[in-house]
Amino acid sequence: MKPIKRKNTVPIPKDIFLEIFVKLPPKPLLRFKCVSKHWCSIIEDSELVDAFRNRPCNRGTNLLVRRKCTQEEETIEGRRKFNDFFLLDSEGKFAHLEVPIILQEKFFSNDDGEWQHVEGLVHRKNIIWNPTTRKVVHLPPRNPFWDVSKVIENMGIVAGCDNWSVSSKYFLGFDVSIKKHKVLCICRMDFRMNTISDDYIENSDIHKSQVSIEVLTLGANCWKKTTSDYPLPKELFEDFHVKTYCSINGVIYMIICPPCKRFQLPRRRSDQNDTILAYDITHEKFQLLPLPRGIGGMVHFVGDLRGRLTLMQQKHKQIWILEEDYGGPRWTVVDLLLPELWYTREISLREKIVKPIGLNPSGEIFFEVKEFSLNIKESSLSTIYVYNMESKDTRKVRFLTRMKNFFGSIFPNLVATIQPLK
Amino acid sequence: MIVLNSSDGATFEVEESVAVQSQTIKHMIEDNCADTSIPLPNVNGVTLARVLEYIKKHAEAKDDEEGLKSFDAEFVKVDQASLFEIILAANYLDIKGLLDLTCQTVADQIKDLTVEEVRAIFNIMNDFTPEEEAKLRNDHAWAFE
Repeated sequence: MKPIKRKNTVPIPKDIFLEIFVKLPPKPLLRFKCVSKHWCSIIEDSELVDAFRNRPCNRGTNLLVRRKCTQEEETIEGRRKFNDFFLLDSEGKFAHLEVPIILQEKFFSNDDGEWQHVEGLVHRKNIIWNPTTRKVVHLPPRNPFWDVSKVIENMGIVAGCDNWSVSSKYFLGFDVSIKKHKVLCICRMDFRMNTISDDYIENSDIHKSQVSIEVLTLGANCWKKTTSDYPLPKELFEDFHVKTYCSINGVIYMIICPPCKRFQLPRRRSDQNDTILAYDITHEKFQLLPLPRGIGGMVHFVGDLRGRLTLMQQKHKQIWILEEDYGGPRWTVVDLLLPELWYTREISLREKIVKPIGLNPSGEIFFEVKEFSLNIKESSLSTIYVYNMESKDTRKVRFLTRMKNFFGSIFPNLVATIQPLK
Repeated sequence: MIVLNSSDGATFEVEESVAVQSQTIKHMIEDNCADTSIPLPNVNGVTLARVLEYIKKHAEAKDDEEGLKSFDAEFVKVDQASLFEIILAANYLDIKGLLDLTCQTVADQIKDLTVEEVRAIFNIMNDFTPEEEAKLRNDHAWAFE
């Protein structure tokens, strides 16, 4: 290839490189890091990372589909495969994504609600994955309570507490003010007393707990303990289970509920009361938000609709949208005109289940309609539909019709990003 | 009518309504620096002529999407040296449409090239040590397939 003979030897300004690089697809862009140190620094620069992520063509309808592999025979390199990822792009192309081996661990095969996508990065438990660069980072386990003896001293633990445990919950968010991904870690140390009751059943009551909140800025490699200027809600100090969460406009919304105690019968449906714990990443502030009345205490799905928190429940043909204005937070409800066909049971089927599984901020809701045949041995068949809120139309999603034994999730509006993870 | 002077002394006349597609020229006119003529020391005659060709066409055929598309496609069929001159001019003159078009053209031209080919075209020295380069290649192995 002939070198470009330029008339004057003015070096090409960085701005021009940014304009050219931002128009490249991710693969050559990452490859060209090797061209020279100068090119490498421009490509890794946050200015390009931000511009790349905000490309107009990026905010389209790239769907990331996760399918749980339920068959024993599905293997990859000899190991049992638990998760399959596909990318369905706006041009209708369907491609298999290479999944990092770590995400194929059985550990990651449960709890559909806990996979999240935030500005191009996918999060699950303590793993953050960038599908564009195919890189993965493990968040190290946190133990901010390293000096256990000091903790015991400060808390005045009662004799009899013979074991303690530390657990961390991670949440991925995006700080819109500094345009960086941040990870929130709610870490708790529980002191327990094991008792044997009259029925000889071992109970493990949490006697006292300590909670620590830390935030990691991705790429900065250091955890910052948040010192809150605002009082922390007391729910934060009780043990809670996180059903699902989502990150919208710099706020992490977590749907939490009290855990079922071990060996106790699960609570009745009507007793279950989910709450929303919201964390504002920029202002480092926690807030509790009430659920809308009418949702019946349980939330099945949360998502981002045009920048607003949106809740859905499986049985209802409605969505609840959170509006935050000067009067404070309030909920509005929108009825959905879903096809009647989804709710009429055919004679040949045992039952049909309609589940919301994805929400595109531009106003599209993805539903899975799962049909169970009368013959229990037969696989269930799922079809994914997309409902457009404006036109109130429903249509099938190509490639995602009549799938056998589909358990998974959809991330609409997957954004390509070359964000480095370390 | 606005008069533009290129770096090598050539003069060009162009309608003000057309010239303001360049934000740089637009600001100069607004700031009253354009009494007699506007000097453009960073753009030579040949390149300025081409840029004017672009903005004239985009001013007169504004609504003809198809026509503009084929014009743009033909417009960028130049050698790479000239393309870069146009890029630098579009950047200096702040003409977004032209900058996007030309940069997209370069991006399309280089996206399937190898690292060595890119270095050759841009006349860039590889300043990585073999170990550093090997590490980078390893990090993004899939991008080299």
